[in-house]
Order: sequence, then C-alpha cells, then structure tokens
Amino acid sequence: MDALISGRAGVALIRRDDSLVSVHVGSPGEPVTRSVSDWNILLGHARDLRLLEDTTLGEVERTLAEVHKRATALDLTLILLDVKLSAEVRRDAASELEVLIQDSSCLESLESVLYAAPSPSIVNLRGAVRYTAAMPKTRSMLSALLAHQLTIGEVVAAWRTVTSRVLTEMDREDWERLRQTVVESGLFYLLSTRRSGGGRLSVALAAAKRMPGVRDMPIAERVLTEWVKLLRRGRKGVRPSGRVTVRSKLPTAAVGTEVLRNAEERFTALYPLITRIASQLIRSSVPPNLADEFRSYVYEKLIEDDYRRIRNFNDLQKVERYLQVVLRHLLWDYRDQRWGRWRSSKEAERLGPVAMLIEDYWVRDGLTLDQVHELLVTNHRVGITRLELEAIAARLPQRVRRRIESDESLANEPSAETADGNLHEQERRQLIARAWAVIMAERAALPPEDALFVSLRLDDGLPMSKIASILKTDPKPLYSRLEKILARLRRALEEVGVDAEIIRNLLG
Amino acid sequence: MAPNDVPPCGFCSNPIPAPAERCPHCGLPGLFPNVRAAERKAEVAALNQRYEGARADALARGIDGPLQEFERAVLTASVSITRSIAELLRLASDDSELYASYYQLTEAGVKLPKGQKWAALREVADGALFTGYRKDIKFAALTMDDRGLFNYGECSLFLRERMIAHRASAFEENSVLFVIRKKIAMADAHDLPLGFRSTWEYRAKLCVAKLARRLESSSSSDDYPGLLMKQGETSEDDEFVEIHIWGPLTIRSIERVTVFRKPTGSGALTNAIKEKLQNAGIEVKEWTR
Repeated sequence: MDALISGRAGVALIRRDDSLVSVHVGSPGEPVTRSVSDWNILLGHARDLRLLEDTTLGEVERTLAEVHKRATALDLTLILLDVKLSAEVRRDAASELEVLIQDSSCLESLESVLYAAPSPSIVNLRGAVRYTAAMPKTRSMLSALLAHQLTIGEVVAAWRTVTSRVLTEMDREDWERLRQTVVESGLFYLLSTRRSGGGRLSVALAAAKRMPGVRDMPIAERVLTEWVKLLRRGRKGVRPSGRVTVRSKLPTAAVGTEVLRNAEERFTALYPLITRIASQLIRSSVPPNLADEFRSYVYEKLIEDDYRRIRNFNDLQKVERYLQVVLRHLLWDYRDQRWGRWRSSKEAERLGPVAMLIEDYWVRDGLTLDQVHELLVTNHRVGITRLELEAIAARLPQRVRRRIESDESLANEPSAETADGNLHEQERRQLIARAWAVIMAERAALPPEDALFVSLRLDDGLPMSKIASILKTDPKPLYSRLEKILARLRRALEEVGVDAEIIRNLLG
Repeated sequence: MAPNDVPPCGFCSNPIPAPAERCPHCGLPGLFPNVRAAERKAEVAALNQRYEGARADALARGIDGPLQEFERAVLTASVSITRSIAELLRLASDDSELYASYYQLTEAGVKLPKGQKWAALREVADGALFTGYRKDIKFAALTMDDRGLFNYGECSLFLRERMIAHRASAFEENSVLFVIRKKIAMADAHDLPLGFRSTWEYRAKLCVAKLARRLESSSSSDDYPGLLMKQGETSEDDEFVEIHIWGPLTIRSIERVTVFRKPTGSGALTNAIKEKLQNAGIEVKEWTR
C-alpha cells in the first residue's frame, strides 16, 4: 500500500489495490472508505504532503502521529509567541508544548523550523519566556533561540543570496521543495548554532543531498555547497584575536541605505566578539538567572537607532576596547533599569568588599543566601563559609529593593515563608547579630597585626598562603595563630551566653 | 462548448478564453472563470429548462406552495467549508508575519506522485473540470445547519455572502462524483452535461431543479436543511450542493465557525483559535458528538 500524509490536516489517504481509505489522527485503526472525490476536501489544500510507498497500515499510522505531533508543536510554539493572545492561552500552549518536546525527535524537528527564519520580533520571544516558569525544556529552547537570533539572520541571509542566484534556473515548486528539505534536514539549525563539529554538518549535508525530490535536482548540490562555503568564508571576517575585518563578505537580509547595510554587516561581523564580551560581563556581574535577559538587552541596544552605537565608531583598530566600554555602560544601564540606581550601604562599605558583594547579590539582586554563597565561592573565589556569610548578612541594614517581576511570575511564585518560619528566622538573625557584635568588639581589642590578619582571613576570605605573603611571614604558624584568636573569640561569646551551635557555626 | 457561447467582455465585447482572469484584449479584471462558465447561454438555458420542469411537476403534484417556500429558504442558506483545526489556525493567523514566516518553511508545492497508481487522484487534483484554474478553486457546500460536512474535518467555516457572491458558482452535487456517476471520462470533464451549475445569484433555481421531486405537501421548513444537505454514513453517501469559490479566503471571508472538540485534541490550539476568531468578531460554536 501507498499513502499520502499531511501532518497539518491530520489525515493520511491510503491507496490499497484499487481502493482508497483515510486514517485520521486520534482515530487509529479506524480507516474510513473514500473515493477520489474526497481529495478536494481532505487534502486538496494541504501543502505539507509526504508520500510513503510500499508501506503498512501501522507504519502509516505511526508516521501520521509523528508528523501531526510536529505540526502541533510548531502551532503551540507560535501560539506561545503570539503577543495578541491572552496569558492563559499562551501558558496552556507552553504547558502542552513542554509535554510534546520531551520527545527529542519532536524537539529537533521543531528547532529545525524555528532556526530557519529569524523571529519577526525579539519581543515575542522574550515575552514567551515568561510563560515557561515551570517548563525547563521549553524555556531552554526559547532562550537558546533568542540567543541565536543574529546568527540565524546571518545563515538565512546567506541562503537567500545563494538561492537568488539560481532562481532563474529552477521553478517555484522545485525551489520550495529544496527549501523544505533543507529545513527538515536541520541544516539551518546546525549552521546557526555552529554545532557543525564532529562531522554532523557533513552528515546532514550529505543526507539533504540524498533526500527524495532533491537528489534528482542537479542544482541542489551546487546550492548547498555554495551556501556552506559562503558562510564559512564570511566567518573568517572575525579573527580570534578580536581584530576585526569590518567589511564582512556576508550579505544582509535587510534592504536599506548603504550606511545601514554597512552597519548591519559590521554588527554581523562583530557578533562573536560582542557575545564574548557580554559573556565575560555576565560571569562577573550578572546573576546567572538573568544571563539570557542581559544578552538580549545588549543585542537590542546595539541594534536600536539603526545600529547607532556600531555606526558611530570608526577607529577599527580599537574596536574590542570600544565594545568593552560600550557593553560595560550597557551593563550599568541594565542594572539601573532593572533595580534602580544602586549604592552599597555605609555598613557594607565599612565591612569591606566581600560584604559589598553580598549586599549586591542578596539585597539588590534578590538572590537567596545559598545562591550568594555559591557565587562568591565559584565566581569570585572567596573562601567564606555559609555561616560567615550569614553573619555578614545579619549586619547589613534592611533595604527594600524594587524588583521587577511579571504578574505571571508573581502569580506562580510559591510563598517561601511561613509565620513560624519568619519568627524563627528573625530570632536567629538577632542572635547572630548579637554574636557578631561581640566578635567585632573583641576584634577591635586585638593587636593591630592580629586585627589585620583576622580581617584578611574573615572579611576578605583570602587563603593562608596569600595572607602569609601580605604579612611577609611563613604560612604555617598562621594556622596556630588563627586557632588562638578563634579560641579567644569563642570564650568571649560563651561569656555573654551565645548558643554553642551558633559559636560553632560562626567560628568553626 | 461553442466559443461564442461564452459571454464576451463587458467592456470591449471581445471573446474571452475560459480560464482567463482578465480580458486579454482590454485588460478588464475580475473575471471569475467558474462564474463565466455558469453564465454560458446554453448553461443558463438548460438550467432554466430543468427549473421550469420541476416547477410544472410541483404544480401538478399540488406542492407549488412548499416549493416556493423552499426556494426562498435556499436563499438564506450559508456556504460552509470544512477544514482541520490546524488549517483553521493557519487561516486565523493569515495576517500575522509570525505564523506566515514559519509555516512557509514547512510547505512545498503539492505534487502527486507520478505513475499509474495515483493517476485517478491526479486527474481530480489537476482538475479537468476546471481546466486552467483548478488551483484557484475552493470547494464548499450549501447548508442550512451549523455543522457542515463533518465527514471531512472537525471545523466548519461559514463564509460571508458578500465576500463570495461575486466569485462563487453552484454545482448539482460533488462534482467529481457527478463525473464518475455519469460515466464521463475525466479527460472530458470540462464538457459536462448542461443545466447542472449556476451562478450564485441563481443557486435557488439549481436547488429547486435538483430537489423539487423530493418535496411533499407535508414538507415544512424543518425538513429543508436535511433536504439540502444529507450527512451520509461515509463521504460518498453525503448529498449536497457543491459551491465553487474562485480565489483566496482569509479570516475576513468568514462569518462564523463551528468546532468539534475532540476529547484527545489540543485544548490550547482550540482555545487559541477561539480567541483569535472572537477578536476578529467571528462567532464560534463548539459541539461534541
């Protein structure tokens, strides 16, 4: 038997001997007898037909379910991106999509389509991410798509350039079939995500060339080869050193003045460098949960006003330095915009740089103390215990920060606190603050060199080797010296009745 | 078909080839080939003959009154087109660059396989009945109820009369089945027996000619919907008057929609479509079997 299948229509028309039957999604195992006259209404309008030859009913049903699932996944994604639809509908779409893309082949197929055209609006993409709070797969897919928008534009522009050269040599239907095959093979995705290592690109390219409908098209091989060649050539415009050949050979998708086109080309050529600098800033100054948002902010700002920031710069020898300054300013703007203007408190300044960092992350960015601890240890290499961090946090003044949250995320945010929990936490904080006051008083009474030693160790979190080099001494005796000071602090705390557990947690 | 049978151009009076969308001599646009085929003098005369015959027969059977009432009721019937829910989403999102830019990536021109296996289907798809303009024809049905032809899909779209009246023609029944039943070779389907099609304006005449013999003196307005469209056990048993619409349809061509909500279908998809249609001022009804 042979079958014609449309995923969008959810129908397979099966030719068995001289008879026709149809199978419908949701009603497997119930073929409906058909005549040729049904073609006009069943599949006459379908434009996503695929043919299965010498097949079985089971195979037809499996393929129909598969292609229908892929078509539904695309529809749900578009609904999720559609700013004209209500939050409720978009959230439902995200939730159904999350289930569908658990199937990796469905996700791959969806990405192969989404990476084959730049999103008509980045705002749509950013907005959609808000509806994916408890949907990690969907969230990750959209975030990656957002981050790759510019590369997608570059790959699609190259495709258009190559195919426009051969349009006169092929008819419209052949051209559409070639495009559909290339999309389905995932080539746009592979080229846009640069996941072309390990021979994946060559395999996908070869597979696309072998696909039915394309293998008989002599021009297809030329188009595909030239496309990949053009992209590879274009990417050589940016050298790893950051010295930039601004006149990229890549074409632009947009049509505009020569100046604008040059700015776009320049932006495309600088894109890897911009991404690298943005990533550096993110590592040092942006909470991980806001990394994608900050990247999008940078891209949007660089594109706005017809690439003003890129257009106005002419000293190409200093482009990396220029971008570092621009992105640093964008970071400040981003932080101001998100949290308002921020200054560390006097107390944090008095307590030192570690306290200022803690205040930044905890009070300003609204991270939990666990997250702050993780960031200090991994990103800033501060040797601080969780309790030391708590002790510093307890000393920081209470400040109310403006947090920009969507209604959506607020509605979904579970309450993290209970009335009892609040009371307990408050008492605990008070005890820690009291203990910390005693420690500070004792520290103030220490001889100057011991006070500096304790400050370097507890406030700045420096390792013993580093402290030893600062104090110009051997590191070994520093350990017993620290123990002696800690014993003194413990005694002072015990004398004022501080709980043994808190002392152990604070001083080890 | 005699060339001089086709109505000449209304502006320059020269003959116009059958599939032309505009006069090749003076460029007068807006000529709908299906409508012009139904306007042929011989076609109109044959239809009138069938119509008068049906009326005479009704008069003889003493059902002239119910027949006139039926004829008036047919003028209020809607045109419904059946589609899957995904196709409806596509139609409802036609204006959106977002949907269009991704949908076009998954679509290529429809090309039925070559060879004998699919020959019969290819003949239908290529449309011998509409030589030269098959790709522009949308198939619909005339109906007086809310469900359309549910053997074909879960959504029925009811079209706005003023958006289609000028480019629609009516046909006695499913045109392909008509060709098969009359044992006409598909290659000769461009030259069908006369009197079985009409312009939109004269659709009631066609319905009377086709259905008058089924009317009885006891027939009332409650019987008319079932008379005009009979839902068969299979699509081959469906009976309806087929409407051919030339050219594109958009969401603005639609007046109302009925959706069959499948228990296993996507709720988000159905709700999104409902919201889009309602935002566009289109009435949506849901039903279950």
